[in-house]
Amino acid sequence: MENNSVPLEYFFSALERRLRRKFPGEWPSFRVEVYSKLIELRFSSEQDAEMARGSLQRCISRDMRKPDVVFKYWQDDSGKYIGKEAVYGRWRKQTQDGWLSYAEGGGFYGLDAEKNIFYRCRPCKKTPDDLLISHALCDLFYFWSMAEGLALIHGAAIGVNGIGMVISGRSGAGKSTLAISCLLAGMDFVADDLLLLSGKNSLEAIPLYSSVSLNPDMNELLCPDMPLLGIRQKGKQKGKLIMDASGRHFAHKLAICGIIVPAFGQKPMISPIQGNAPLVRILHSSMTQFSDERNTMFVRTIASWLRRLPAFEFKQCEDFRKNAEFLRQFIEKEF
Amino acid sequence: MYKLNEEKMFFDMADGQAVVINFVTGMYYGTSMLGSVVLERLVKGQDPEQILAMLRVLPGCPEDIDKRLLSFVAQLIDKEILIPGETVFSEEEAVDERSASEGFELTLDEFAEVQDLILADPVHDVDVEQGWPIFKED
Repeated sequence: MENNSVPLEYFFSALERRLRRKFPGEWPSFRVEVYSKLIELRFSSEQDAEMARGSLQRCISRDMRKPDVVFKYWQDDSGKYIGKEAVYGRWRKQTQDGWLSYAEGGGFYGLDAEKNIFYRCRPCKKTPDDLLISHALCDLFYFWSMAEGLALIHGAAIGVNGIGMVISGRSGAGKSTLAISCLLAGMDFVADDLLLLSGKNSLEAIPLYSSVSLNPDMNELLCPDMPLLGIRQKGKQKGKLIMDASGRHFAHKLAICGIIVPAFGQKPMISPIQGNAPLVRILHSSMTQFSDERNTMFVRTIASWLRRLPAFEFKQCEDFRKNAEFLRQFIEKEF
Repeated sequence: MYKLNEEKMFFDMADGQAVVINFVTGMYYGTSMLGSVVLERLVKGQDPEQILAMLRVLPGCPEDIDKRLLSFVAQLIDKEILIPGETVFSEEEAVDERSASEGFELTLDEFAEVQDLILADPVHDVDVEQGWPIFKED
């Protein structure tokens, strides 16, 4: 078997031939600019492209230069490209030509390092609304960000006067509600769910997605008055409203100084958290969000960036304006 | 008796499951359901003998639970998750029977990057119709 190992570029050229046969014609595409990099996103269907565009409005670029990187996304049976009978579970192959990663039932990802094209073949059975909140694409952004020395994590980020906090919490803990409350209160806002971090100089949060999501009951209370992109149809997030927040003010970047773990209480209250539980939460939820890979480089990177940050539990009350104002005052005072 | 090796490890319980992350190497660990309960107690500084006594009273507890516990603790030490520490947790809180609903296995799983499992020639040796890496039938 070892003697059969050849450069991955042969796989990618074979893949391109198959894609041309399966999806002839030009693929619907658009471009985004993220952290000064131009990314062209190509999709096999207009519907997928349209949904993805909706959640990346804020980063869309009309720059027609050669893109720095290309993402290719399509839905198909991955067994047509990678013989599913031949592999079970999960495997990854990496050479200087790129890498290929396959997860049983989850399709495959790849990077043609020479052409700088990231590939994502997603199984057809996946819910079509995944692209609304770009979770179908977040894996590609995750892999791309690692290659760029950035990191995509599962968390929100808000702040005041350029000083920010990562909000990290388990599902249902009020992470999005708190982040959107802060956005509506005119505070600095970067993301409510998926967040790009850069640790190149100081630690900074950078916006990527401009869609936000809320449960209908929270939406009624907060009244964010944002265009509705869609409603999640399946899974744990069923019924969640996905809205376009691109018309709101986003911070260009935020210097991250701490971690907020939301909880619920009678009145707004903040208390320090000892230990590294919030960081485990960020790492664990990020790794289960993005292709479910236990990526040691990702762990080391995030740990080195975040481990010395102070963490606080923030008890939110029912008055969302009061919560945002309390958090604003806390950040102004402490940082 | 033991404590978490905080110079290298992060630990938290996520939805009842122990998650341990070695932030120096980036390795990531999970445990069986009962293992999570045991690990949480060990991290809090409970004496393994005390934990053993709690496990023994659970319905269906196997005879060799002492060996399983010993082996589990040895693995945790070997992976540098636990280091010697003081016994600080003496609370006689019983182990919930539901903790053993998935059995009495005390296992530690280690996760890292996925290894290369298949090395095939995607052009020359594969079945053209079926894709890669299905080998051509001679």
